[in-house]
Amino acid sequence: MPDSRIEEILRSDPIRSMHIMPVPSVAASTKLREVIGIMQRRRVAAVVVTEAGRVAGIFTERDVMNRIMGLALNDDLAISEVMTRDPRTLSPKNRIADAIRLMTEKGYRHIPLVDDEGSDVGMISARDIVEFIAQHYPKEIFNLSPGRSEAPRRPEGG
Amino acid sequence: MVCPSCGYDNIQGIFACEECGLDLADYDLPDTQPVEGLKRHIMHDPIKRLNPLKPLVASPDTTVWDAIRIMREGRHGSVLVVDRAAGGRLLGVFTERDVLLRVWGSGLDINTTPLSKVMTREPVVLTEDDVLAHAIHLMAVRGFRHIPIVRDGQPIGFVSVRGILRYIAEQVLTEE
Repeated sequence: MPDSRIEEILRSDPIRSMHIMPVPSVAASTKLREVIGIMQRRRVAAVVVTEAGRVAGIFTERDVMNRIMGLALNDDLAISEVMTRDPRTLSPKNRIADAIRLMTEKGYRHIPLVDDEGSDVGMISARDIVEFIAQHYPKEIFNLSPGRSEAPRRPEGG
Repeated sequence: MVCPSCGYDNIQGIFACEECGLDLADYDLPDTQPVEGLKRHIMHDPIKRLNPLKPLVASPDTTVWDAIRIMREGRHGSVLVVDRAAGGRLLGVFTERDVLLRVWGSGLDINTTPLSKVMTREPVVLTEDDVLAHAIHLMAVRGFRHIPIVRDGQPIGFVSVRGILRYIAEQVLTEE
């Protein structure tokens, strides 16, 4: 029964076995405006920022929200001036459990992945893990019949 | 049958345990393997087991600026938009993702634009008694990250991707 083994997979298997979709990365000199354009077009919640190929920072939609109020609309800044520098990273060789722990204990939603040289090789998100678990239960989750949750919810008389 | 979760001895053929409410359908069929482990949690645990966080709320005429301030101060990425005149009925949801996709670069003045112009109206909602599988379905298939939880039309909380992940971590990673 493969169903019962997801626990073991999450505990023991490396992140690389999840085959996460690649995410865009940008160079540190890229303008804020261009980075936000990439996030909008690719509909991604976060990008990895690299300097000479190495992971230097991360920029997320949370940062977008904070920026829109602060230095706000000066979108001519380099992303390196507004990114979160030196984010916590993991290796694709780390276990999925290591990512889950970092996310739940530290509150990270996105963790850049680096190889042994510190080069950018992707990113893992909390959503990637929830989707990975969902894929393990195609019958129960993907084919879930539209239950009460999908029914229109209008209060009586409204 | 004896409830596999709480041990209560139910009458035969009942659909849900009278004591703890566990859905007994999977257990009552002789040709079905008992559902165990994480799968059982996902298929049977109601969302209220996540201890959902209280939502941040705003009104339809709250400005985008004020909504962002509410989200920053509340350190959370979504606000539920309610009709306070109608007893707090849920009208919509506005998230940091909407700031990225609908507000930034749109030319809208965040100081004057009301949430009613940029929120997602009549969002898909869950109740606290829906099981985790419903929330995971909406996240994995529909791409939602924050799902309001309503009781009698009023939002009482929300379920987030990280809330689900935290619960799964508690079930899976604590016994190492």
